[in-house]
Amino acid sequence: MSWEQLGDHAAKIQQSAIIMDLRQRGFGYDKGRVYDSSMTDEQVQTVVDITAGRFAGVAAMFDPFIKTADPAGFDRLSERLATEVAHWLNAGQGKGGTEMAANPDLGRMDDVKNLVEPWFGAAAVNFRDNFLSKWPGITANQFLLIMILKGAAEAEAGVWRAARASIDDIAHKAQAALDAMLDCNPKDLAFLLTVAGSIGAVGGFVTTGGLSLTLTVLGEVSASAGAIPFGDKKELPFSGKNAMAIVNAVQGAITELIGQVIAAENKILESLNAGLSAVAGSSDLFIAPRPALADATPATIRDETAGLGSALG
Amino acid sequence: MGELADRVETMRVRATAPDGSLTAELYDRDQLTLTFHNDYYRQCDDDDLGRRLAAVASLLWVARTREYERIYSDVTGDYSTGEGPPATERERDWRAERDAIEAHGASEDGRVRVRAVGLRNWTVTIRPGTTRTLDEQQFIAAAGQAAGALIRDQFTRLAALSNKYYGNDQP
Repeated sequence: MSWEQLGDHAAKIQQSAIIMDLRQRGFGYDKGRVYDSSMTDEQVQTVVDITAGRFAGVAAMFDPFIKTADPAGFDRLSERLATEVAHWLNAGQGKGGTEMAANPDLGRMDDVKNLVEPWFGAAAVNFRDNFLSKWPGITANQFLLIMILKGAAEAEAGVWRAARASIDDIAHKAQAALDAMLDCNPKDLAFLLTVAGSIGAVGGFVTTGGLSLTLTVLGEVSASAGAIPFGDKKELPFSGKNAMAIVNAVQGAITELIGQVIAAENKILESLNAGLSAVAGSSDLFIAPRPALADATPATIRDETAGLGSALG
Repeated sequence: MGELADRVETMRVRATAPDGSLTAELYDRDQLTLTFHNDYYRQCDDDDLGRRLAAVASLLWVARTREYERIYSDVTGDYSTGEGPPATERERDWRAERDAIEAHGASEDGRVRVRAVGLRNWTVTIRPGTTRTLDEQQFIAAAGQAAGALIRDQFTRLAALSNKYYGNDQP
């Protein structure tokens, strides 16, 4: 079943539930016509209408999943963020796409350290303490923020891919159970829900150099090597012995699936909120403080404390 | 209905008598046709034909069950075959009654009668003189009518039993 067919499939499940319920109660069914030799057509129609009423709303149970997020949309966002990281890392190296390599431009900060070696004065001390020493930690943390965003996009794609697979499994097995309900050996089946196991922690990052930050990066379990899933796949066995039992099992599975999606979304939200809180609460971990020198005026530029200071040699 | 029902509805299975005298084919759920080999129909007597048809019917239903399970596995991903032990007393009772279902079918002229208990023990009774009265094609049509009637009877009884044990009013 393709995703676009879910609505039609849901309608077919409802119709099958009605027909199988009637057939179990002894009504005949042939090419869209329900019959019973001991009843008039009007009497049969009344029974059909009552039965249809009992199963009204079965197709609508699938509605929340018909217009869900498209996983491919998150894939595109994730790829774009990867491209951004790659662009930053590869600046000046002529690489494209998401191929990543060290950016030698970032390492030139070491050259700056050497160049400012003979520089003395308050501005020089501030530049060394607030900018040079913190440079590795701040750039690492900025990368981490992008990786958190990329991981969240990847996790979203994973959640909705798993949600689609799970609702497809529910629809598929419910229909099969209804089809097999009156055969010689109707077996019990189990719905397989995979959202809880679809996302996990790819890794936590701790920066060094006195700037310490631990945040969780998420990812889609199937796409990220080493990702540790937050939950397990869940099997929900159900009885395929009567139409109402099958429909009730579908309702239970959909409720469970929605719960899994909400829990997974909360994990993603937690990860993003933690990143946001870190930026809001410790902006110095991500952005070097504005140098006082930047606000210098012609009057203060040569000041002993607020000015440039002096150079030896 | 769904893919499983559609595929079961259209599946075809066949079985041949151990001595190769006749082949039966089941299709469209309850349609049956026969093919006689080596001019067997012209040489057989009614009782012998009845015994051979019963043997072929048994083989045909085994083939039907096997094909059904293959399709079921294909559609559901459940590759377990056969039945495990009953999980409840109700299931045990249901199986006992199911295996005791006695289904019947007869041709429109009543010359060919088929009986099956639990779809395992088959009896085919052919009214004396039938093979000398009906030509091969007429007999094949009569056998098909009897087999179709039995299959429909079996599933009607199965639905009633299912309703008795697992209908919505059951706990």
